[in-house]
Amino acid sequence: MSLLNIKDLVVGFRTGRGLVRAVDGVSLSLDQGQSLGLVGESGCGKTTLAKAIIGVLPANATIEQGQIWYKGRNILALEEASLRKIRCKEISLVPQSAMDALDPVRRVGEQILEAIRVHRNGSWDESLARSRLAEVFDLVGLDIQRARDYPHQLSGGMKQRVLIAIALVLSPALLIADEPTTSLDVIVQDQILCRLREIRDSLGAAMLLVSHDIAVVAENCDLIAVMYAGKLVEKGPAGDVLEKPLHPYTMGLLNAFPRLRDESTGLISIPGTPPDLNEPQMGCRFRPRCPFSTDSCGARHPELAEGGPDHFVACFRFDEAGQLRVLAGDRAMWEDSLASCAGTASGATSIGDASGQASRTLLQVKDLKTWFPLRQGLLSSIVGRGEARFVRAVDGVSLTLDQGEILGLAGESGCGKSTTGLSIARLCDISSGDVLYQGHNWGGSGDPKAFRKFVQIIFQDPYASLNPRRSVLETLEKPLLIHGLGGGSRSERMNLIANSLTRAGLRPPHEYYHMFPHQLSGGQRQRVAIARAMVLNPRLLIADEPVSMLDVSIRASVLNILRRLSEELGVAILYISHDLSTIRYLCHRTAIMYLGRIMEIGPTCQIISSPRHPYTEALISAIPIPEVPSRRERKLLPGEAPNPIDLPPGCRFRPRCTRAQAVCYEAEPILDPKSVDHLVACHLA
Amino acid sequence: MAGITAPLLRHDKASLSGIWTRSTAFLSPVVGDLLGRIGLGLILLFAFLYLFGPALAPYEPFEVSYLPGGTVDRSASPSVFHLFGTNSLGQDIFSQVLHGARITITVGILSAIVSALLGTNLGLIAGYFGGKIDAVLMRLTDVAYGIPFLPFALILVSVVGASNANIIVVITLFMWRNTARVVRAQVLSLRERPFVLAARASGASSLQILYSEIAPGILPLALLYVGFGVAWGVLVESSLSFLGFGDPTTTSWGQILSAAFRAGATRYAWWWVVPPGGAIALLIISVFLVVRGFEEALNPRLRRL
Repeated sequence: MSLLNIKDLVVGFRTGRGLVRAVDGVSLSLDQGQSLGLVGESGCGKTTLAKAIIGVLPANATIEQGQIWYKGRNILALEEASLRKIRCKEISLVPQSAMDALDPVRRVGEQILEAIRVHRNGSWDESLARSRLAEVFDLVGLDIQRARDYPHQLSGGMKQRVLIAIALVLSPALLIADEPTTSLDVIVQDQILCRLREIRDSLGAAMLLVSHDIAVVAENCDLIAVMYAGKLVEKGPAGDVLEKPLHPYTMGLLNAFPRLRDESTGLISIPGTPPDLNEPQMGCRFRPRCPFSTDSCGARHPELAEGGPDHFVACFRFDEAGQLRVLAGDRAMWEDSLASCAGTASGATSIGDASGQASRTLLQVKDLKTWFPLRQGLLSSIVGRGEARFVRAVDGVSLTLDQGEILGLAGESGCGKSTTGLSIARLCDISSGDVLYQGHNWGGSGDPKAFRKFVQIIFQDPYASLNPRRSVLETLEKPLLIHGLGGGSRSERMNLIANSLTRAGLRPPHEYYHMFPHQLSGGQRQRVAIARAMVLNPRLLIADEPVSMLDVSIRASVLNILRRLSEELGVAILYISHDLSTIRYLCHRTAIMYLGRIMEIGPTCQIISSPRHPYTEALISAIPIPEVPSRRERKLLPGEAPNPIDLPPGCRFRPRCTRAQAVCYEAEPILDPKSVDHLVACHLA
Repeated sequence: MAGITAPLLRHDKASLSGIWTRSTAFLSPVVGDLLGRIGLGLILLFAFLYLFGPALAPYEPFEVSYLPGGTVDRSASPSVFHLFGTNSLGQDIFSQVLHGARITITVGILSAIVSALLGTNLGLIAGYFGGKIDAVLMRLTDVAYGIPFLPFALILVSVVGASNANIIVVITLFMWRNTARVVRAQVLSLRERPFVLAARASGASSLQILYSEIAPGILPLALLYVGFGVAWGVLVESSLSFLGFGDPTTTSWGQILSAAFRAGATRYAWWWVVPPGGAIALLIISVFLVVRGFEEALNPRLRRL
């Protein structure tokens, strides 16, 4: 008998526009010790399913039908009181956002002890509970001293570990992890997933891992289930699903997923977005986006059928899957199904082309420093005790960017990569250093308005960076009016706007003119943001994590747009991202930042395949890959990046470096050429 | 203020039906609620009185009525000739209330608009520029909060003289503070949004950002305060008039009450007191009922689940 058995579960949400079935007839089972990964785009019902199992659905959700059997008991039929006994003790949840899942006014150790006290009904004495606390802290890799800390004193990774500790403290038989590492940096993510895997193996607990990241699921789960629009479309052993996907949606997701080590060219996005579940659904839910749909797909949604050993799929054409997989590798196949989807027709050019050409230097940044003063107490600032302290967000960055070149700037959060971008765009005051644009220094002085015509920026959150009260047309017209472009005539401006929208893949442009940000999908919003930046025809585009908030399926198309801008218009792009896989796909050269400094800079292929700096090595080895079994060699880094306030003398990476020598304690290494254009700041490289 | 109105005007190119759908959508939070509908009905009634009241009034506000014998028709109870009776001077109260509607509502609306304009702009500037400008403006707001309203208003009116224009100025001086504080708080949050940074990146100046990016975002809030301001303005004007500091040349509802009080008629001539008092109460209630609907739409925390 399986541990967890979900039968034909339907969860509905009452909304202003009627009932929405977020989970629609899902059946799943999970055995003792098994781990199941649940993947799909956002809004596909993954989290709702996880919440339904543990009975913490929001107030406007109802379970319309179905059963959830856990150890022979139907959870849905249980009273709240008996359900509470099961929660945490039997089934526990690692929630998504570590930042606000902990009570900010109580010590983290207390919050763990509370779980013990509630469930053991006092049968455990205090010392036993405390020794269990020490045990779980050890298990998740936290120092027991930190149990006395409040949540704000812990870093994001530590908070996530505390949440895992709470989930583990009663040794549950089933662990539900809802995007447990999504908000964390790749090195910390790797540490935590690694630990989670070890714990699961040692306790023999079953796990349900919800994630949008196929690679995370591939490395951590035995089984994969793919959800689409509330339906389960494919489930099977992880290796089979990844290597021989049977459902076109799974094929599409795998196509769109950027891989670090894969040499295959070109990402292919899935056109369109998941259906609006408010509308009645006719036929197969994936049909509108599926390149292989036939007339028969419109009749009803296909049932799950066995397409291989233990491998189930909900597709009418699953017996042709082998053939479809070949076709799915062809970009044109997907583009035909929806004309407005942008992709590079020419395919990807090989990385590193531009470095060979004799190209003109567009931007030169010399020893850029952006320090933010730390607010001091009133008294100490009057008395003048202690010198002023600074957060050295950017601490001596030098780089160059050629016309049409895409430079990737990577690093963990807090390393100063975004501040570097803002400083170059002059959106934040720099402390010292030069920003030379075509030889002219714009660093401190000069009319910023003229500068802004040349340098534009795209932000991470496309929704927040568009004024919610402006239509697309107004949003794009504004910069033109400010700079008096388009000869003052409306028709001329409309021309420029239409061009820019088309270039950003919003075709036909006039369909988008009168739409407001809330009426657009995430990918469309980011395209509008790109179009707004490009309407001034800048020579340099700073893209600050432009795809990190987008679903995998649409990331690829946005990346392809950026690539085309550089290829066709010769726009130089500074692509800032924590995600080396997308950098690997897009960028000619890559710079790795750590605590405000560039540690290594060089051609992307060299950085990825033969990193010279120990930090780069660790960063690259921490990236999960969608393969079963994983061939990844990991070089785990201890700890997390500190704040760039009081930096130690010598190399700033030294405290975390596993290879540090005496010389690293003495002098700060400078960026040194190790080959023609590969510079490394390490004494040992 | 061109910056604020521009985005609104731009939508008005649409057809008549478009305007209809937009205005029904605009009113939907009010119409969807029974109390809101009642409030809206009352406001429409007051709007009618405002427009046609003086024309409908059978007498002039200060016209004295005589009985057939030639004596003044003093303190007559309601009858066919005088729907709300007459006051101690023989003036028709129904006509006074009808005339008073225009004066009371005008003072209420004007003081609300002027104070919301002042408060919104000060709040915008304080919130956006921060630093010293913010400190000065906000301390000024604190001072405005610290002044006891009625005593100070009485002194001001007695110094500058009792006219409706002066009363509007006095009310404005006291009401801008609420709007300024709330708007500033909202601006503090809005100015940190990435779209403001995006506007700066497109080359927009501070003034452009303030009035064309941020101001539209706080417009609903400012309009809400105009609504509340109307209610408060009516109330304050009535209070001042009742205390005898109203414009002596006009008949606002507060002044009708004041006259009744001074004549010692509040005890026997209920028809002299109830119509103006009831009108004030109904007007304020109706404004609150309607504004409450909008507030609920603006502030989701007030919404019932």
